[in-house]
Amino acid sequence: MVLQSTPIVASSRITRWRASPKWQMFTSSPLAVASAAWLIFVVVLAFVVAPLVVDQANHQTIAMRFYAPFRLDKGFEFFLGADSLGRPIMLQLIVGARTSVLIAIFAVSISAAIGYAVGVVSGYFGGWIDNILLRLADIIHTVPSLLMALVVLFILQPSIFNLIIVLGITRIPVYLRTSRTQTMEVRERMFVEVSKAIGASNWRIITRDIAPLVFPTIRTLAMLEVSAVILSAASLTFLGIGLQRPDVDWGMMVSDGRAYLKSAWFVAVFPGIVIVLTALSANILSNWLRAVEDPAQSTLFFRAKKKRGAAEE
Amino acid sequence: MYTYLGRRLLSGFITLLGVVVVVFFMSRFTGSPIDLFFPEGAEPAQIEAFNKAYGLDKPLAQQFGIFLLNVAQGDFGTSIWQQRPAMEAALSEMPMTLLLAAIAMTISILVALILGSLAAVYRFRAVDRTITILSLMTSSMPHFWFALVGILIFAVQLRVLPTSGSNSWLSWILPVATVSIGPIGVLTQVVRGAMIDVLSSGYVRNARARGFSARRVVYRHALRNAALPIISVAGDIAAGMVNGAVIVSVVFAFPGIGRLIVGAILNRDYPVLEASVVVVGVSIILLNLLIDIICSIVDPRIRLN
Repeated sequence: MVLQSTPIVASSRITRWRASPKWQMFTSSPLAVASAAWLIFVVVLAFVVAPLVVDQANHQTIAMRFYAPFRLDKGFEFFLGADSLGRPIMLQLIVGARTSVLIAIFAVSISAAIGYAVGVVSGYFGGWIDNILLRLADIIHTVPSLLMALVVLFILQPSIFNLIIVLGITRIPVYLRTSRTQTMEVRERMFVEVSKAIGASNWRIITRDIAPLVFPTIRTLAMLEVSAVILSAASLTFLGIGLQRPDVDWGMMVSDGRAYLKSAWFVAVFPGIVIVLTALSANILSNWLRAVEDPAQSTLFFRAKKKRGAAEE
Repeated sequence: MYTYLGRRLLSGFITLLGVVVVVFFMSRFTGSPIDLFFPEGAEPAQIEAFNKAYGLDKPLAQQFGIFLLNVAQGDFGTSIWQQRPAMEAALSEMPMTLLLAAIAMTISILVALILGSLAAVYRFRAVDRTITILSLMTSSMPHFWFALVGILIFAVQLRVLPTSGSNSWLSWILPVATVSIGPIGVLTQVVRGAMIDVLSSGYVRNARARGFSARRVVYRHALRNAALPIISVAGDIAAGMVNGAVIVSVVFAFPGIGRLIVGAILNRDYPVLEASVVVVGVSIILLNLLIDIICSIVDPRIRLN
């Protein structure tokens, strides 16, 4: 294997030697591969397929009302049935994917970027600004996120943009606290002392010495937050706050189906399955990233793998 | 210990103050309750009298000052829709939510401790993989959808559980399950991670070397040291149970603070909204304080730092 045979001579070899175990761990984990595939599939549906089918998805055919799923006689788009207005559920799901993916990507990026930057700077300098920021984060943290979002979205007009802003802001404390704590720990390390001693500016220390070390944690956290944000957004739209037709997302579709649970179960069940699959994929990938980044766990992984391999032979 | 406690109390108080300020301004921005309370074309005099009665005719800054003074005396005003003190309304709904959260928390912690420890002991084997995937699955489950599927299976198809209400213990099953399903998954993973760390530590190896039984090593030596991260995550989760309570109140018409808050938002019942968010805020601050105290007892290094 690459692991044993590659000599550590040139720097290019070293990066290869370092990079391949991660890839190896990725490909040897069918769940991680499947999750990544599903997420890519959803993103493609959201940005490539959704614009093509949006008119067809919102086309109402009363004759097709609650058309039962798993039949092909009315065409492939009705394979997952039709909702209370005769709209094909499969196409609605694809259009809904666009909303959910947009919200997830932007809300997570906003909160991760702000939380990461502010957390590192505030953790590095400390002092009263740090205190105030931490207090603010505490306040946001104390009001339950769903409650906060409910109140804010009630003030603002329902729209995808506002949903993104609200979810983006309410999730900042998660990153802020994490990056702050980690920065305070990294700040005390020897190489930071050395940088200071050779006269590096604070800016340089923050961007070159500290931020790169905090980044992997933020990346893993952001992956985890993708699933949290998808679930929160769906909860809000399920409660009927945050979005309005013709915009649609998976939470709204479940909410539409709620009234017809007895007569047409599939209207509420299918969107939920898609939410679970997507959130689960993000969760699995985050879990995998954490395992890869944690040297203790990845060592254990390879040891367990070797042992299993030896036992099989 | 006392200086530590004092510091925590002070910071809790400041947070509470912040919550009060945020709540006041947020609720004022949701619009006026007049549009909802009066039919179109109501007498201007009537509206004026309404505004006067609830202090809505004064400038915002003055309203805020009066609000702070009253809050300091525990007075949140009268509910606009229910004709009783807002604080009374909030406090009367709280016990139900606390009970729901307490039951759900107990179940989640117990299940998570068992499953998480099992996964850690048998890590990277079939048991661990099954538990990990299951726990990831439950933590990826949206509350509201789980609740609906629960209704679909147990109320509509099997007809063994009621769809709503809170009268018999049977009607508690689905709400409790809905609120605890996510926490079980998250906590199981935390327990697993913490246990893996602890099980590979020196003192556990030492305990094994001394010949203690596997059970004793896990429960007496490992679990106690893994307690810290588990407790702090459990605190966050307990605080987040209000989210679940909101969903449960909507799907199962389950009583509690969730129902009150959703109603207050939709009716723009400011006093009730303010009182209930503050009650929730105080509960969460107290909970965090409790968690901090427990952590500082479990690990004295925290309070000495």
